[in-house]
Amino acid sequence: MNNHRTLRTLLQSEISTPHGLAERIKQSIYSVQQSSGSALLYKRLMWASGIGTLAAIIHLVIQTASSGLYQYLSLALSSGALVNVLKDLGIILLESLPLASIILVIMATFSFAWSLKKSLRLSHYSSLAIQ
Amino acid sequence: MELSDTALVEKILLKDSQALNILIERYTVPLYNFIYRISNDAALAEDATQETFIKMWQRFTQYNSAQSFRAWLFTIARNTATDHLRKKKSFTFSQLSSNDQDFESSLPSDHTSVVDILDQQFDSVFLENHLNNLPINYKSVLILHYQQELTFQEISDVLETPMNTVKSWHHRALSKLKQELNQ
Repeated sequence: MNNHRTLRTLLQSEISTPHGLAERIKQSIYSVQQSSGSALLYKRLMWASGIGTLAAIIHLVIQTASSGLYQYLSLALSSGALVNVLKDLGIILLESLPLASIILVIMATFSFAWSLKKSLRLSHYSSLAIQ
Repeated sequence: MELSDTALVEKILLKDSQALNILIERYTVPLYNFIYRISNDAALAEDATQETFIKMWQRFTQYNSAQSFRAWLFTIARNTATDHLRKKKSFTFSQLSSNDQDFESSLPSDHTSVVDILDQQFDSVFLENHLNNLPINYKSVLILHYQQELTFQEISDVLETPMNTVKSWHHRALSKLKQELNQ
């Protein structure tokens, strides 16, 4: 037997919604919230690390110039003793520069690279969550 | 007492997660119904509903409280559904907009003869098939007006189309249904 109804009733009727859809939506928004919060934190960390790296490099340049290394290198290069310059460079750097500055540069560079990697991974997950 | 949409949005902007949950529960069924009706695809409707809420959450700061929240949310839903339908290479909302201006001028002043189709009895399956065969713009207007009870002005905002065009789609949809159902 045919089931009859009006167009108005059909238009006003509700289609059954998949079970637990509202809960899944809440979860997906929660995931995106978490990812966005973490991404923001890592973005700030990345900026801080970048600025730290730059500051450390500037510090090293100033130290190098003031320690007389700059004058030594200029003299050595102009005299053509390039091999000797390269050979001595590591020792001179270690002797003339504060150890703290070198450690700071290494740490800041690693931190910068790690934060960048983490941010890229999070933004990838965020785009997947939206899909 | 039930909080209004605007009150809930204000709470959400103050990081009230409970308000967000209420809003999700309030609109999951209407949005799913709307998207399902225009797409006729359960999986697409589920994905697009979920994506609509994520976009809503991401764009809360862009919401202007002077406009209807419901219309704003359905606009996001409509755009999201359109994107999904385009991916499926289905109909687009702009498909029928080219000759509407001509149609508007030919509209009769009395709509009673068309509107009476709403209360006639038909076989359910037959009726459902004819409704599904309607162009997507027509279906959208009928669903938003009769199921979601949006005004023509709100529908005009949702579909980002002039109100006269929305009225013409409404009239056309009913005319087309009347013509086909009475054959």
